[in-house]
Amino acid sequence: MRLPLLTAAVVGHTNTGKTSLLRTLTRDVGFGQVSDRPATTHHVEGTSVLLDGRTVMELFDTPGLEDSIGLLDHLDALAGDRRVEGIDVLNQFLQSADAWGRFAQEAKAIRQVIRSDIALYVIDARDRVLGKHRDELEILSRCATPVVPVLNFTADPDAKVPTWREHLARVNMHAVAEFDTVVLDEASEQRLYEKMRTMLDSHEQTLRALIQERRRQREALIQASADVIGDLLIDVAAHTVCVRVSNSQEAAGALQALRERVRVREQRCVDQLLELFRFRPDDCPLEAGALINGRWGLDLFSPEALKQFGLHAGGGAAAGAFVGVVLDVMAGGATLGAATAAGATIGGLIGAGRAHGRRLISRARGSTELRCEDATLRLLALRQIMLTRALLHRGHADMNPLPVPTSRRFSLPKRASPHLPLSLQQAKLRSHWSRLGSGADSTLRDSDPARQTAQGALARMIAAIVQRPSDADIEFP
Amino acid sequence: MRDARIATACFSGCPYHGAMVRSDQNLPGTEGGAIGFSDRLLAEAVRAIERDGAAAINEPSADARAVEVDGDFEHRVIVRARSLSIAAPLGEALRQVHHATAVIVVLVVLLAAGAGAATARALLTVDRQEPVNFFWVLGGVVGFQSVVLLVWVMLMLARPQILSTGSLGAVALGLGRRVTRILHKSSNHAAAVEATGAIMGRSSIGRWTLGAISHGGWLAFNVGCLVLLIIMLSTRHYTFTWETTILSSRTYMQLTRAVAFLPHSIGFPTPSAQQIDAAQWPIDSQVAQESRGAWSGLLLGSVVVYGLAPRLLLLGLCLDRSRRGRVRWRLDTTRPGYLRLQSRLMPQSARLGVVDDRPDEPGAEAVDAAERSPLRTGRPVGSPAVLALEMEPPASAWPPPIKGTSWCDLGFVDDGNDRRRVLEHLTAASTEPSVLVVVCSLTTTPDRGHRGFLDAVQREIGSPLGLVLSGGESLRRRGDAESVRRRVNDWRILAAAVGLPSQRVIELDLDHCTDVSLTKLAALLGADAAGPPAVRRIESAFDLIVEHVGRWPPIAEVKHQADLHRAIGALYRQDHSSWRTFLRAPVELNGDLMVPLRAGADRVVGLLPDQLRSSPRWLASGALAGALGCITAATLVSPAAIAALPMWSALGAAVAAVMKAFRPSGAAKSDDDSPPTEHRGDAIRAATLFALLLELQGKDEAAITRILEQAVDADDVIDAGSADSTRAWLDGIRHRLDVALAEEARR
Ligand SMILES: Nc1nc2c(ncn2[C@@H]2O[C@H](COP(=O)(O)OP(=O)(O)OP(=O)(O)O)[C@@H](O)[C@H]2O)c(=O)[nH]1
Ligand SMILES: [Mg+2]
Repeated sequence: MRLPLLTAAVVGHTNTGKTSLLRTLTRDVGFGQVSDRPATTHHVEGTSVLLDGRTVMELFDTPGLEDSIGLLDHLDALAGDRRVEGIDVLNQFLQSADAWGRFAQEAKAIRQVIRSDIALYVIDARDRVLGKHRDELEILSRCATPVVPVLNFTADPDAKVPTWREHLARVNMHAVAEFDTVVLDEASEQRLYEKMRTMLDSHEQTLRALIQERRRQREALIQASADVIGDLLIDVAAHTVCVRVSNSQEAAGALQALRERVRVREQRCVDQLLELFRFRPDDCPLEAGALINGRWGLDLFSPEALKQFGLHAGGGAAAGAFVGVVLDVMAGGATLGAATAAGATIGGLIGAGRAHGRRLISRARGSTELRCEDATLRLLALRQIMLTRALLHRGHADMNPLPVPTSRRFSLPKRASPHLPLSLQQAKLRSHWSRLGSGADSTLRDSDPARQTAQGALARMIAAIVQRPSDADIEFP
Repeated sequence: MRDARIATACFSGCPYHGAMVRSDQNLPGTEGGAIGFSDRLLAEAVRAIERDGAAAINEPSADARAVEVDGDFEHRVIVRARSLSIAAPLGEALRQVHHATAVIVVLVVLLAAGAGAATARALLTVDRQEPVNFFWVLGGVVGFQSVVLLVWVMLMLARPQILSTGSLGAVALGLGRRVTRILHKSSNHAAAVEATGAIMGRSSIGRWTLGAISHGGWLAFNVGCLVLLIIMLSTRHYTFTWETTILSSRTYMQLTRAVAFLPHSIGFPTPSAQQIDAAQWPIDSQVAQESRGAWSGLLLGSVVVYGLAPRLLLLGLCLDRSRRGRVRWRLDTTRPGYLRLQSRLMPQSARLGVVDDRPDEPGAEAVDAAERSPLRTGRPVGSPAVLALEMEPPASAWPPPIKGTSWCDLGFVDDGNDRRRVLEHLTAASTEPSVLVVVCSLTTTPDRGHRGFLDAVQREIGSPLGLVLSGGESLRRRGDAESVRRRVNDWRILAAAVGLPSQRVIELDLDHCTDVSLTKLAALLGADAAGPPAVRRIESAFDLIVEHVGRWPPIAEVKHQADLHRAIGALYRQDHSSWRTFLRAPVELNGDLMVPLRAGADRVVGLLPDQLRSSPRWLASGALAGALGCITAATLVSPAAIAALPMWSALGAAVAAVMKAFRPSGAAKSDDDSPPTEHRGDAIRAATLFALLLELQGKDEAAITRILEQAVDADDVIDAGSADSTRAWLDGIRHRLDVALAEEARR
């Protein structure tokens, strides 16, 4: 079904964030020009909102109504003593020479309001209610177009929301939306559309569909971000480098290289996230000195590794047992226990990839392996989760650089939780899952379905953390 | 042959079987034909190729074709994938991966059949004289695989995801992928392998396909077993028996009956009670010899019923499920690789551009400016007038209290009525104000409305206007120093547009009035007031900082920094003895430098408020200020003392050592790798602290700390690279210092 097209004009005093509102509503960082100087926009500029590829709403940015007091005086002078409708006077004004001269900016805005189905009147809620605002509202009320006042800057401590609501109610405007184009809050965006809906019966469905689409988009974004983060974590968790303990110089070099690779990998994750959220990369400089603790350690004979080799039932070993039985019977003869053990070993070897064998051999040769510590993995996860949360709440009109979350803003588990999520524990045993440092033989990258499964599970977990309420403690896992 | 049929069945269970699946589903009215599993697989492969951002494919023509399609996002993604130039080779690669996998699956099935035959043969190869233990043979053939089957069913119910990855099928497919990777090294094949892996790992198709392969293998095993059993039983003579040591014969009787129930009901010959009984001692039993046929029937029947049949059923189930899974499977468009495409393939917004009717007419604004000349002159001059434009009443008194001035208060001007009132008053008044001071708030954006009003006012009077920009502190709280500067500048532009010379625009926070600011205001009122405002020493000190820093080489040496400190110290020469004592500086520097420098550093650092002390950079700067301050104090009076100083390099080393002592141990960053701007930042901060300390001499130490806490914001970083931003940073400090001083005075 084709939804009726809704046109909306965004008007308001200069510098109240009209262009910013459009940027945020359309998630388009590049729309128009935004600055804290007056009269930044001096044309009517449009953008259309698409749903499934079809235009359902057209939003128009307009120049600020700078001299409403002067314009209202002018309109009253035009009307004289005649008893005429406000809209007729406005039309008369729009025909006159003044509409191209002294009041050109105002005329452009008013013309667009008259043409549109609805007007969003943007207010800087930090301002007091002043004469100019009253006159702007008066002029708008003569345009014969429904008006939804939008209180902008509501996240600012100076915002005077109740005062504004009171005043707007006095001039019969009861459907008021609160917004902040910099601190985006999906609920307030939804309420804005709902306020518009109450004014526009004919476009009820369009707005409802838009609200739903926004919600879907947000969920998709969370899913995708979680997937990106999961990919990063698996890459890092699985990445190991073999070094000879005896050669400390080589070891130091390897440590350095490992750190660098992980850093680069993290930056790629950040870039991917920014791209997903449609921000430009220079919006988020990454803090230098990211904390990476390369650690000496061989995880190969940890219980998890033993399990992998069939000494404990569970995950991979159970699957191995299944393989083992088949092989055993086919070979004809061995006992059940031995078959299970052998099968688990084979299953384990296949599951964990060729790397295991190599790791065993290199260990025997006096090498040991270098990998990122659990704490580093947790840190990576938390940083990216915090970044995603910040991006979810960042309006596309925000001009400030994105702050890098500092260690104060998230918490590591209080009791030292010994276990990473299962997916990461698995990743630590399967160095072939990592795409780090395999640049040379990237054709050999193994696309183990098990990696996909693990990444999927990890992503689900991360998505849940990302969606926690903003005051909740963020922990990983 | 049966094996071949099973193999084919498995074959169709493999992921890439374009022709078969294509017919499964048809989307009506779509461009480029129906969308099937193979198309989605192709899209997945494209995603795999594009995954590493570097390899992102940018083919506008493909994008364009996708956008033309009237379908949902998934549809567009698929159309794009099909329209890419890489689609054909990628499809070929997918087919080859599929073939390799199919070959491996066939091999596995053949192997399984062989294994079945071998098992049967091994179990029946016994000493010819001995009777064959029936339950051993049955257990070897059926019992064991039943246990495995049970495990499979349990896993499928409890943790199906394991079955996507670890099973006979998984091994077969893994081998298939590996073989492909060995045979084909192109990136297309890598992507194809990855795409199949992604589907196996992320959807239920994987576990059903793998299940089909596993059950197919077992089916082959059973068939092999059955064939060999029939051959052996047809061509050899076996007597079946059962034995026990501790179980009763009744148990065996019941067990055999139970096992025989199903085979019997589908028509296999099974032993009767008497025959079962006789089989315990078959050698000398006539009945046992005659019941061989029945026992063989039971064996074959059991293999069919307990081994073959369940596998056949499960194979059917798995094939059906995996087929349905493939039909129902949709791309997960929330995966980043797809979502990334959304802005291109299914944008959420499209700019319409400028939609004005007519371009602006140039010169419209100029008309206003031309007619600016006072209408009336020649009235006697009265007292200065003041009005506040769109302002809240300031925290301090209104009108601003200036000694010896009685204001003509025009009040607060908010709306059109106020404006008219003011204009009428100005027209009607018998005297003309000596000056009309208009107070505006910096939090207000200057606009054409303000300008129109100022123009109108200007026309009413012949006397000069003065513009006071108040509320700077409120604005500063909202944004950074840069935005304050821009706003002040915008107001100055507006003032210039109404013909106000720039010295008649002053920045003055009425919310935080100080003597200094009121002096400025008095100056605006005219020469008869307090005279030009005294330039404060702190302002001169800050000017010195900007000037010196501008001259410094990229890395300022101790000598340069000491020069600056001495210049600042010279400004405060009057109070020299007081601050020398304060810094505990010796009268002359000689002997061990470290002791006095360290003492000076301790003094300054001790005065820092907590918030600064917790910032490593401020801590270092405090120490630097103390050390250099000490040198300044000791050398200010007699220039000869400088000559007596040790070499600059030694001095530099001493200062560096003092600073190092104040570096937190955690930040073990050596000085050499911090960038030069940080050195400059340290130097600027130190000089600023030094100037502030000298300015605040005479106050008690707690007050100094309090004032520093307000005046200096640890988070406000300097961009030491540019003089402008240094100046802006210092302005911020000076402003906050005024506020802090005013507050301190109120205490
Ligand atoms: N903190 C905060 N800043 C905002 C918000 N909305 C807008 N801004 C800032 O306010 C300033 C003005 O925004 P614009 O979008 O250019 O305002 P405008 O109404 O289009 O201005 P003109 O086109 O000049 O009439 C910019 O510096 C924005 O970054 C908000 O909700 N919160
Ligand atoms: Mg604008």
